[in-house]
Amino acid sequence: MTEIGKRSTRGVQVLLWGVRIATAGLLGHAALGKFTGTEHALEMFSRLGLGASGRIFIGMIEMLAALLILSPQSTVYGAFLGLGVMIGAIIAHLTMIGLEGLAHATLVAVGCVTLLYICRQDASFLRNLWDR
Amino acid sequence: MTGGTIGLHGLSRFTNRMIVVLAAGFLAAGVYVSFWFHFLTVFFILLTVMNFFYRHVQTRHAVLRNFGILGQARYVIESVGPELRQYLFASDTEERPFNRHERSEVYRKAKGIDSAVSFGSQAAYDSLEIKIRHSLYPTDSAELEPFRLVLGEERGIAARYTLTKPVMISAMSFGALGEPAVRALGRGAGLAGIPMNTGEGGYPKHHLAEGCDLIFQMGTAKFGIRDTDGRLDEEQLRALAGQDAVKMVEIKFSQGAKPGKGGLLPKEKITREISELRGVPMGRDVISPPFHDECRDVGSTVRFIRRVQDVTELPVGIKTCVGSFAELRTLFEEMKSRDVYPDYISIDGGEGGTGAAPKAYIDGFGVPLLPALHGVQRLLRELGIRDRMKLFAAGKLISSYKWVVAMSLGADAVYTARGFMLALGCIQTLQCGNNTCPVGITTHDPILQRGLVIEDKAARVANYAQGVVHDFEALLCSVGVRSARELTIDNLYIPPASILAREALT
Repeated sequence: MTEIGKRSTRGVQVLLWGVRIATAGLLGHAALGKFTGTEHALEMFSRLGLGASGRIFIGMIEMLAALLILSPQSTVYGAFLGLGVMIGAIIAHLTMIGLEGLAHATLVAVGCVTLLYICRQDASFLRNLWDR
Repeated sequence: MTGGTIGLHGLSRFTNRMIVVLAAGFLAAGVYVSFWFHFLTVFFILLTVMNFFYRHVQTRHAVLRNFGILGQARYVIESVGPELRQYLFASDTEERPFNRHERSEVYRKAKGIDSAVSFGSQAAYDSLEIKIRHSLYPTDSAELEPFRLVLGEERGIAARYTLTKPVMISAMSFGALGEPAVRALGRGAGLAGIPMNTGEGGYPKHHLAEGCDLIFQMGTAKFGIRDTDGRLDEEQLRALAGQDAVKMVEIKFSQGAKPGKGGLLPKEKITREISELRGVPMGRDVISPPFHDECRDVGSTVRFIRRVQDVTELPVGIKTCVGSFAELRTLFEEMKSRDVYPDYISIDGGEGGTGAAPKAYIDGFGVPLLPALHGVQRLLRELGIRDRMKLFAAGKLISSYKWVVAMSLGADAVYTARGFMLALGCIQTLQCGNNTCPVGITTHDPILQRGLVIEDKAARVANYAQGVVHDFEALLCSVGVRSARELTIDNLYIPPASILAREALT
């Protein structure tokens, strides 16, 4: 549990869980789309040249990130992983596959950054980032 | 970041630039060669962002502002420093408070493994150490008298308590220790036939659960037996002393970890159960007062001892770390003039103990055990009251050698807390106050407590106690005495330079 989580008011706790569930939900949904091979996912990965293995691999990372985010002890690591995948997705949208879906990836990235900020005390490499 | 600072400056400048260049390079490779390169692009973008925050956003850490991501290595290496030193770099004889040799001796005893060593001592053996003098005519082990120490016999009370082993588990409260540790110690104490001190943690619910003999400790805050003003509630004390398992009561005046300062339980370790058992709020450090409200001078102190004796009808001892012998003398003189004595005095060495305490107190307060013990013994003899009470010693007494030294200097029996913690599996990570004990002893985190299996560790506690008692008896034979009572300072070789040398004290 995060230090902020421990000390926070009920309102912040509700917000934290809301962001957790929303972010993990979006990541999980994207992962399932890749596993089941929706038309959108198939087309996207074909344009990226990553093929089926790349699609499943990215889907697995997204699913792992979603699961880590849902557990309070590992939220920070899940958010970091999720942010990495989403930066990749944003690059893909901007450079190769067009702007459709960019907003979705950006939203998940914002969710991950929010979680990283709230849970920053849980990981030593993040703890110092905002110290002022 | 010491040594080669100029080199580090250049290296960090290079690193900080290269992170950005690599991020851009992999981005281009990802676009023009293969999308797989973007895995590296993402990695270096994250590094670049973190580096920006380290260097331009945060203001607290100069190393990070100056060196960026490279400076973070300092914190990473520093955080694993204790482990690196303990496992890789510290020699077998240089760790504190117990070096690897001392710890492995306890581990071996606890596991019932032979602890004999060969080819000479690893200790810095020289003429400046206290040694035990052996006899040309050792005692036959068949002639050894069984250890027997009767507490309360001087006052002739009905509820006397007889120690049949020279060792007791020293004061560790539920709070300082987690429940599995308390239960394992309690069960082990029962198996070994030794008593366990409850510490000052209030109603000893978990200590009582194992049915071993208990010494209930009354701290200055009187957790578990206090009225609403924090003073002694006689009814609660009477009820507690009436429990079958409670054999003695100990009034704690001070302890070696923080003499002159009240007990401290860090807020990290205060669970709901502890807050209920002690009657204290959660979320705040619990700091006991430095003195008993009832004891403001020698007169009131002696009256309080008598009051506790009358209420409990049990043997009642006092525990103190020695500060001033002159103060102790006035206290003893008052005892003598009123003919009121505690049934025992426990001398805690100023070397520090298990308790959480400010560093200045652990390092710098209190007379060390051996001179303290010897001084108290001399004082009691000088006043002609040595036979009115027993004397216990505590402070790093984890081996039979140390027991013989302490008992030669006047102790009738010894206490050890850390010896039994090591027997429980303590690996000396020094995290007792953080609730993060990796072996589940001084933590209330159920995930960490899972590692401590009560049945297994209780057996080790008993093995350790029995193993050291066995060695102790062997040492008595080598000294040429038939019981611990016969030990005197003459059984020790005390280097002339030592404060303990009789020439220096007489």
